[in-house]
Amino acid sequence: MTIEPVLRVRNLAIAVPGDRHPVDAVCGVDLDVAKGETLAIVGESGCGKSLTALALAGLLPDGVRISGGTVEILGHDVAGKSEHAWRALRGDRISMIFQDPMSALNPVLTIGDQIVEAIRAHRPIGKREVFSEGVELLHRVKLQTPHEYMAAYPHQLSGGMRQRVLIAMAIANRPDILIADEPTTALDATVQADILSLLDELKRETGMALVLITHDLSLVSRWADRIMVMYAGKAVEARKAKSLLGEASHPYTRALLAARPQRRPDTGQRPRLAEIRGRVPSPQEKGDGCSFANRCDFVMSRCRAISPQAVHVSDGRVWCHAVDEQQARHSGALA
Amino acid sequence: MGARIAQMVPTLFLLLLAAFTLLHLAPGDAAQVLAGESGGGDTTYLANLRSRFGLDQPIYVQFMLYARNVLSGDLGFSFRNNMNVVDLIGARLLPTLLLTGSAMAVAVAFGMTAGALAAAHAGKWQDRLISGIALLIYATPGFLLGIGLMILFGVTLPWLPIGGFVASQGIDSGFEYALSVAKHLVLPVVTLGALYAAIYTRFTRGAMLEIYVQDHVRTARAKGLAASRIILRHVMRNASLPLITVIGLQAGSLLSGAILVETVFAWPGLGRLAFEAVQQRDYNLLAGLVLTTGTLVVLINLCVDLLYAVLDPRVTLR
Repeated sequence: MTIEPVLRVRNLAIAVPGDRHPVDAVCGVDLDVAKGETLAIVGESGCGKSLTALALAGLLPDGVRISGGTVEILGHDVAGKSEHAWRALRGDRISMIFQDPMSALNPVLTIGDQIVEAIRAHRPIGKREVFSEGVELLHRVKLQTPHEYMAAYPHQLSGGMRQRVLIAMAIANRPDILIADEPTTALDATVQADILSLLDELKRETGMALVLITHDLSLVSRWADRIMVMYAGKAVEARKAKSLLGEASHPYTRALLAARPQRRPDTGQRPRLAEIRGRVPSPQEKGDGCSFANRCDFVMSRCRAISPQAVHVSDGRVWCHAVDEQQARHSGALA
Repeated sequence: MGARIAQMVPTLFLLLLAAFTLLHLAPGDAAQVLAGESGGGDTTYLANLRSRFGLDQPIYVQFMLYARNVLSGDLGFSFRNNMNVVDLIGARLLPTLLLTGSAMAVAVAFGMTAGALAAAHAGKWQDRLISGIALLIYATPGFLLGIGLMILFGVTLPWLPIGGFVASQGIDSGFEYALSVAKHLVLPVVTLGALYAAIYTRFTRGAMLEIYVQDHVRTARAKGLAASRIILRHVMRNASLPLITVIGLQAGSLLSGAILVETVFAWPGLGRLAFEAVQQRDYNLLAGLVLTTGTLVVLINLCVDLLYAVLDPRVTLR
């Protein structure tokens, strides 16, 4: 199975302003997302997942820039593209939705105005046509009475409805890639699953690639084909969802999985949540070794000295010395 | 909407009370003033006058009488000018509205453009230049700017008339009249408007920078909209809301600013009339002016509220 990925990222590094000189808040990130595939990027706040997402859509804030690597959309490198070139791509081939739907819509324009301008930014079509297309889009994101929504203002809608409107705008021009940055974090728990299943359904209908950014591993486990776990600006484990959830290798991934709220199968009790001691180092604090070394239960001397290389495991890669050693011992035993 | 208009009633009542109080704070009473105007009189004459004008009645009855007169359009008589106050004010209202309206329009147009430019180039030389000029104008006293402009463009470079409303000769058609008024208008409008243009520049810049970083602007960028469209439709539109509030709040100070400018440029407006009324202790006229400008400010704020409701769908007038 060698499908050409619609989104391919190699060795991506993102520099943010530091105390004296810029520091890399993200480095060495590789991504491949194929048509119709869902990739989840998971990590706690400050791990660089949102910066990565913004970089993919050319929306990095002022002062933050891509300092290395390539971002290929449909085979073209866009990492160093001008704002003008990005404008043609954004909302057309690559779309993005954000964390807080309450503030992501312009409060003084109607939903209709905002959808229409999303379509017209890329396709010059007539007024009546664009309106009926807008209605159709609202229908597709399962808003009943779409005509009424077209004339409504954002403040008249709930958070879940607004996120649907934002999704409608994002898919208006049938993009190849949709990036969803924590699309359900700001929503009620009951609405979260609705939004994710809507995204999944739209993905199946249109065959777009979906990149789902989240801190909630248990939430995306149902929807993702592949999962990349990030820690302190680097990928620590990137595998097919099933094997990552079933046989996670990296100590950090295992700790994340253990930190999920779960009932004990035998008694139905909720035990105290496992926590990961310590905190994420800031980009300035990072040394030469593995960023997780200070919080890791399996830390070895070389973890603090050398940054780990990728180790191939079933259905993916892991960046960990302990896993590397384990594999070496295992293959040594076999030989 | 009806309720918003009803809210104006207590304000206007207080205004009326203020004007009435002003009249009664004046040393002596109207009878003495009247007697003085007609060359003095004895106590019987004064008592006669007092009973004729109801001045011997209790104060609240006097206030009722005053209110009735004002509501029926009678603001009293200006003995200094030998004219009804209503007629005096009526003749001066239009020039003042023309002056302050033009100054406001120029200030908003310049302020919003300069503020938008400064915000779009925040931190760069364009921003520093615009902000620097705005600060300089803001710090310059109005009369200094007026006299400076007068000397530069009226005397050194005799391009514009230095005072008055319209040329006294050589006016043959309506068009020439309008042109002459427009020429006379330039210097006072620049003098009065410059300060407000500077304020609106600073304000627009700040409001736009605040909006630039909001999530919905990022959404607009994510749609792939052109930069100009993002600025005009998404940033400017939202930044204009707080600006309109400020404009409404400053309507009063604009009218009092007109006093100075009208005096400097001999503009026949309410401001100069007020200046003269103070100098001549013409209390009837002064009270009439307080009522008129106060009502204007109240009406302007009503317009601002209506405009706000049109521009911001979240606001409903109750």
